[in-house]
Amino acid sequence: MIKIKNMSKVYNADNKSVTALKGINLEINDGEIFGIMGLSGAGKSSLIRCINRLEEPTEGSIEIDERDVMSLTEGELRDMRKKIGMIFQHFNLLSSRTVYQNIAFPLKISGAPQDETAKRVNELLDMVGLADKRDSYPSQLSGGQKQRIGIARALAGRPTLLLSDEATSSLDPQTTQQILSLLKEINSRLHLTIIIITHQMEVIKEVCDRVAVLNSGEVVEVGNVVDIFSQPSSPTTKSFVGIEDELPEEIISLESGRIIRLLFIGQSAKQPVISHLVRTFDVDANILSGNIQRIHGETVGNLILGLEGNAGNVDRSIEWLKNQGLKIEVLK
Amino acid sequence: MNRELMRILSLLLPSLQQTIYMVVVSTIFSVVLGLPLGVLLVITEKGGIWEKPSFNRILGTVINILRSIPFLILMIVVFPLSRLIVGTTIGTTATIIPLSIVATPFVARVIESSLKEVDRGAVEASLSMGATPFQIITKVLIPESLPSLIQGITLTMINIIGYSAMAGALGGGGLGDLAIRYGSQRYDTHVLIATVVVLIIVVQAIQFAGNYIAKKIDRR
Repeated sequence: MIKIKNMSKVYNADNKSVTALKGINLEINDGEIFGIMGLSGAGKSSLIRCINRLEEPTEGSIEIDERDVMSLTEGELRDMRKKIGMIFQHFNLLSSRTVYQNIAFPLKISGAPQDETAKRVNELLDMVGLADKRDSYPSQLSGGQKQRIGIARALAGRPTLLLSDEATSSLDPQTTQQILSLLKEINSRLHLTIIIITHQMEVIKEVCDRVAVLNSGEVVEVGNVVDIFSQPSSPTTKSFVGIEDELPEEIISLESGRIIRLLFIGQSAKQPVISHLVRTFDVDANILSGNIQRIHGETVGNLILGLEGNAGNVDRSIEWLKNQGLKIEVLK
Repeated sequence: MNRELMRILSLLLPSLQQTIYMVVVSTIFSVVLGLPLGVLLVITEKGGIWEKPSFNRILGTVINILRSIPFLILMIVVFPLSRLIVGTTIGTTATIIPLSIVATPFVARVIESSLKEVDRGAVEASLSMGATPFQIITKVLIPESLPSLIQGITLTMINIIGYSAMAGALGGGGLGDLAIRYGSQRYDTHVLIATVVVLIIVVQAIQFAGNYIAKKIDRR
């Protein structure tokens, strides 16, 4: 369990101070994949680096498994880092070392015996499916392969926590999928806590259990991924999810009846509510905008409907929709 | 003709041997002294793995001061030191002292710029694995920049050849000494030209070897 309390980070440069993070409070549970999402400059990188103190927080406290990270001595901090794996956007492999030597590197630093190292590295090579690249150099590998090596290296010391710093941001969509499945597999197989920072919503949707949305150094929303994405409350999250906060004026004025926003989650998304509505209440339903997406294996739909017809019928149809367990927002 | 060739060779070979001796030993000394200084320059700068900004400024200033002293003047200034260590101020062994001193700050700067080429991300990744600063220096900074370091050392050697020729003017021995005594003072054009040709060949050979090794070990 990771507890971040009231953490802030201020950079001072040439009499100017820039607040990168302010008042961050987060709790991350063991074994979950926790996403931190934000646009560039939102403070994601600073936040993840404060967890293993690659950057020193200006204020606040961090606890990992009930251990106060801020009070560790340099030696204790190094020991703790050996139990926290980290992967990076640009992989950060050592170009002068082979794939094998790169994965063995953290073990070498820890002074692990050679036979033990060899066994562990071969195990990891098999796990990431790159045993045949054992003696290649990083420059001979593709981006996806480099990231697999990065992951193998991060897991070498059998960490309990994995930090992922935009690990898929420089990969193509297909490779991103492969890396994400690998992370998911590692998470369930090793019961490893993973913290992912990213600006890609697909990454969060695909693998994360919970998400925190970061904007200008502050957590604006945190919670279950399906909840956050199906009912985003902050403008930042809404823009990520692609829900327009307000309908364009011309659509609203064109529509003579009522306008409602319908939200489907899971099972309810599969029911033919609209055709039922039209048949039963004798109203016309006009789809003004909408999208359906898969979030963490769940179907989430978002639909904006214009309803026209007899006013009483329209009201009754809205009432009926509410009783179907759908989230409804009356916009007009 | 043959006798002339024999005469030139008999003058050139011992001088070449002296030059090689001076250059090789001075290079070794200057790298041994300059490498730690170059490493210190990199790790103590702002954002380095052992941040010590005021120390970094002082070290940088000292290195700049040493580099701004012209070699001939430096050589005279360190005469007492040469006498103390070697027992004399003339000859090849005595010349190694000023050569090493003049090359050390140069090496420090060359190594500094090589080490700075190392990807910041590789250092950060090593820190995230719990590496100590010493491990980062020996296992990351130096191995990662090795091709560039080899190029830097090649450059240093060629520079030292230039300085060693100057040292010849002050009784340093070697090819420079030969060129001055025969070529300049006795108007012996054959020896002068032969010296220049040999120097060109030596410099080319060192540069070629340096490039070859650097390329061979480069995995980037």
